[in-house]
Amino acid sequence: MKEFILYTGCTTPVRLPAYERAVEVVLEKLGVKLTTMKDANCCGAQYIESVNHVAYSAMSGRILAIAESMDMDILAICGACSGSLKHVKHELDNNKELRNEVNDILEEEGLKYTGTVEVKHLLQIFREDIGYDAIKSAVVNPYKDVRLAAHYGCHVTRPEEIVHVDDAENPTIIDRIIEAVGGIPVDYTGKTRCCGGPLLAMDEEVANAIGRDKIENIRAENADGIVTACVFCDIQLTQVQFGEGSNDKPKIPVITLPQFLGPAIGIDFNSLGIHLNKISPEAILEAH
Amino acid sequence: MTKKASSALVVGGGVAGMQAALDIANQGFKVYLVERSPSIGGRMAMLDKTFPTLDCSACILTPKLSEVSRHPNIQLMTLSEVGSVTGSAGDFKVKIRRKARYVREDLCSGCGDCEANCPVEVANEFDQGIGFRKAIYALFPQATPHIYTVDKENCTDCGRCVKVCERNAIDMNMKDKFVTLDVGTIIVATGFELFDITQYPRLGYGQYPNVIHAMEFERLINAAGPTHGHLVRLSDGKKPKSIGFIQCVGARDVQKGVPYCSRVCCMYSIKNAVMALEHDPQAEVWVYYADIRAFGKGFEEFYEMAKSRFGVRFVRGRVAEVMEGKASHDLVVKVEDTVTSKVRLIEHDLVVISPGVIPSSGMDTMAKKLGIDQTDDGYIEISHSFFGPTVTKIPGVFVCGCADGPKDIPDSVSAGSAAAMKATIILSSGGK
Repeated sequence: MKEFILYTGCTTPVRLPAYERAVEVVLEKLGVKLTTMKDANCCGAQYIESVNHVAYSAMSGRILAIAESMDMDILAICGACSGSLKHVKHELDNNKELRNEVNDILEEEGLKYTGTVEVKHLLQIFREDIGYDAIKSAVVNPYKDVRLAAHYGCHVTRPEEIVHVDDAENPTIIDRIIEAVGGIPVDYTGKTRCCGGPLLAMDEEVANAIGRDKIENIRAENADGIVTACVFCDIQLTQVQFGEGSNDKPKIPVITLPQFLGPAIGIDFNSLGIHLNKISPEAILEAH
Repeated sequence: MTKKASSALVVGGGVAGMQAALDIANQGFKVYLVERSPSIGGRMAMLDKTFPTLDCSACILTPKLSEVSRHPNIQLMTLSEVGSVTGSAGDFKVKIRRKARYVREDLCSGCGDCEANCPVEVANEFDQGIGFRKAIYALFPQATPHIYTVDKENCTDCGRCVKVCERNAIDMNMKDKFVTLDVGTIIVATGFELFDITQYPRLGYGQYPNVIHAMEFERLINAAGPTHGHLVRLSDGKKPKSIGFIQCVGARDVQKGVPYCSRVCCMYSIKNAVMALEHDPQAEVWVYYADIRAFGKGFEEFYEMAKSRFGVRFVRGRVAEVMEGKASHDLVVKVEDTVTSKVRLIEHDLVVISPGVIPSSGMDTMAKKLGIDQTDDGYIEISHSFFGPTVTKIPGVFVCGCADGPKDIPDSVSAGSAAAMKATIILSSGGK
């Protein structure tokens, strides 16, 4: 049985706890064991990253070092976390000076970064460690006649040469999983574009316009739902369908990938926290 | 005095190689012209019109094809490749692999009866895969030599062509042959290839049927092309009313390993934009460019004419993305107009990408065989950028055309003549 240490990041447990739970139950069912990282900290993405590069590197470096001390590779389920951990790992592996600086900071806690663990995003676990065939053969309750639009998230797939998740300009992992469980993956205009989320702090209007543009492009292809692989994207694509500036067209449910996958492999809604989704995806998840 | 080297090898039968071969042959020396494909003519044979005069490309090229093939001092070796090379200036020994054509060159008259009876249709590489050809074929109507070729990969050995050939020219048991040439000098004129624009998924080539590249456009507007010169969309056969040309794709892009300017894309696209309006004066034609490089003789005037007389609209900005309406297959180009600093969304029926130019495949092995150097970009390195534009580091080996960097037709021809001059200096002095 494969085993990973789950780094949940800050946002998932607080704002999208159902995603965290769904990851755990789905991966367990598919034969991947997870241990949750204890005493973890924020990865430092964007917020600290924009202020102090060494501090940022030390924050992500600490996560990497904790995983090293437990001798397990990391599973990250948030686009920003997976992006930061992979970036910092890349830098620490290639920049000796920065590595020494970070290790000086980590030494206080008796931690050290040496570069022995890998960081994987959830999509990689599905493709590399479980595989499409295994997902397919785990299906007990395949979907039928349901059209899903995949949203990958910028930091999940970019920059391709550092994160090594999928082809950044033509990603396919989510689509192939949708297909494997009987859904119909729907291509749409601007599939690899940003959800707008990271801009919220600077310019809410622009951020929401980007998100709504995405929703309308998906609506144009008559998709029944949107499948995500990043907590920020999921929240952003949901919230732009509410409040000022949103239209009164029917809302399109936004579902995290494990929540969509779960019912097909025989996991009940309750274990996946489906009732916590702001736009109910039940109509989609019951389309068998 | 050493043995008088009286012959030359020219590798590549495009316009540069042809010019070099003619200029050497006309001075009384023997020339072997080796070409990988079944016909000489190269890229120029695929083009519809030329810039900046809008001359018909075939009309100015085909007389040259005949001149080369009928020249008593030129021996054409098509469907042939260079093997090992030994020796030095004045005395090279070059092994040539003459691939089996399955049609005897001494017997075939090019009548085409075989082709008419061949039941196999495959995508025509000469038409960039848009049209079809048969499994026994001539690359284009004026293919030179006008001898048919059997594409064994796709041939079903049905035997119809063999039966119908009155001259018994088809020999399905033909084998590759190897010949060794003694030559005093070698000219490399191996040409170029287009950058693989699927490396820009955001521009939609390969995903959207109505995003094509410039060479496909050339074949679509060509009377001998797959549509007999009707410019239509590949998705539904409709005439495009609005066409966008996207510049600098696979050129001047450090991230894609092509930092250099391809030199020809600005002008061929302006020419293609003008040709689109010649085909349909009511159409709207847009060109999205980084900056227009119209440096050659008559180029700037041609650019001005495209704007003022033909009404081609030029937008300065590198295109960010091409989007497609999934049902209509119509396209939207997203671009920042850097003159007005506004992001624009412009609808088109057809988008034509202008790919940059890269060294031809096999350049690395060719350079190794000859012992010549390549630049970081993969082209052949010339010995001196001012005084040795056709000279390589190996004495007796010269280069012309796009083998040492992107060139337009006039520059390729000049380089062909220049290389021929360098080559004949060696031949005239008996190989020294």
